[in-house]
Amino acid sequence: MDKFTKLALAALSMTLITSPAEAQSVNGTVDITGSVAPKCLVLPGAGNSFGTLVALGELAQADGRLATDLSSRFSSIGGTGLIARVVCTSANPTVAVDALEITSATPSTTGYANRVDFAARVALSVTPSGIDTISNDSRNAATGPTALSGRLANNGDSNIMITADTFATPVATDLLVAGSYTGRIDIVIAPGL
Amino acid sequence: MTGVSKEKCFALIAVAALLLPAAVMAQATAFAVGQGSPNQIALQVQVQASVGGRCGFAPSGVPSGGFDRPNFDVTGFTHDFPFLLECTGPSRVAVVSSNGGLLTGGTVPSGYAAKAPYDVALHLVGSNSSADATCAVATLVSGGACPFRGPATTGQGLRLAASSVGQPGTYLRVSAPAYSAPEILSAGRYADTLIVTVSVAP
Repeated sequence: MDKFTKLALAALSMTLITSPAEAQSVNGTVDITGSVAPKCLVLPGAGNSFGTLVALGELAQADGRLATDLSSRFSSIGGTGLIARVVCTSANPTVAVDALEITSATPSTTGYANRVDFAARVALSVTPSGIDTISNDSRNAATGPTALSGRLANNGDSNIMITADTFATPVATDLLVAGSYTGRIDIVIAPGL
Repeated sequence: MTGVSKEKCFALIAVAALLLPAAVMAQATAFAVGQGSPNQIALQVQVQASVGGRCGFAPSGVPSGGFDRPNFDVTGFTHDFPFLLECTGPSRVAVVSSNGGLLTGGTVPSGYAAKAPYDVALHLVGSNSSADATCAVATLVSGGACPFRGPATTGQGLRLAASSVGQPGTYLRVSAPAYSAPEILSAGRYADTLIVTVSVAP
């Protein structure tokens, strides 16, 4: 190769070397995964229980038979303790309701009663709209677990309301024996599958 | 100029003139011996060069791998993905999120969420300086406002002013506290992918 050819090639190669380096971009990839378990929680506070004590007071009328205003008394005395806000991460949570009769340890005999049965009703707001009501009579076994028709509403307001009605002694004319009475409503809300 | 014709000589000079700076572009004619004078031309070639920067990830330090955290909504999470830069000059590192958050399948009604937020932080270590920045992952998607939203270019990404060749300590961190937004996360598997890019940054 003669001198001028070398010179021309040298000039060419020097020009290429002096060009600024091209911007380079190379990739790396990372993956992040996680899971949210099916669960239900009481808001606010992410608790796992709710409830209140409803002290109905005197169950009998003046004539000794069962009072007739227990349903309204239950709601008015229970007040805000009978409403709650529960949400679940799963799409169709289940609800079971078990009303346990109001009873006294005092023995009874014919014409008298130491037991008051009633129906418990749990109304649950679901999405996108509507209310599912799960009821149970204390004379029967627990109702459910029953899958709700949708997710529990999560709009910042309470979405569960508990009521009770149809209070009755085994025989309508029974007189209630004196004593302390206790009953209970068990509500179990589970995330389902 | 033995062995080189006048035409070839002109041609070579013309090629050189096109490629060289203006300082050496003055026209000159060289003749073969016995056919005129001068018989040679002296060219001064000024060489200007720079190393614009080789920049990438060290082969053994490319950001990669995975991280899984069950029940992240309750526990929160923090995880570092270390990586090694191999940049002989300033660089920029940028990140793109595939989902803009940890995403699960399906649709959810109002009041519930199928995407969980988290933060992405970059800590870049250079030979004599470092750089740090943190962004919400939601800003690492197309059009997002994070200053290190990828892909990295010479003008986009977190800039490390110093070289970094296998410098330890550089990492990408993903983190989130226990989930506390009013919308309830739907149960399921969640995922996101981050793509990390690096570029020279003149």
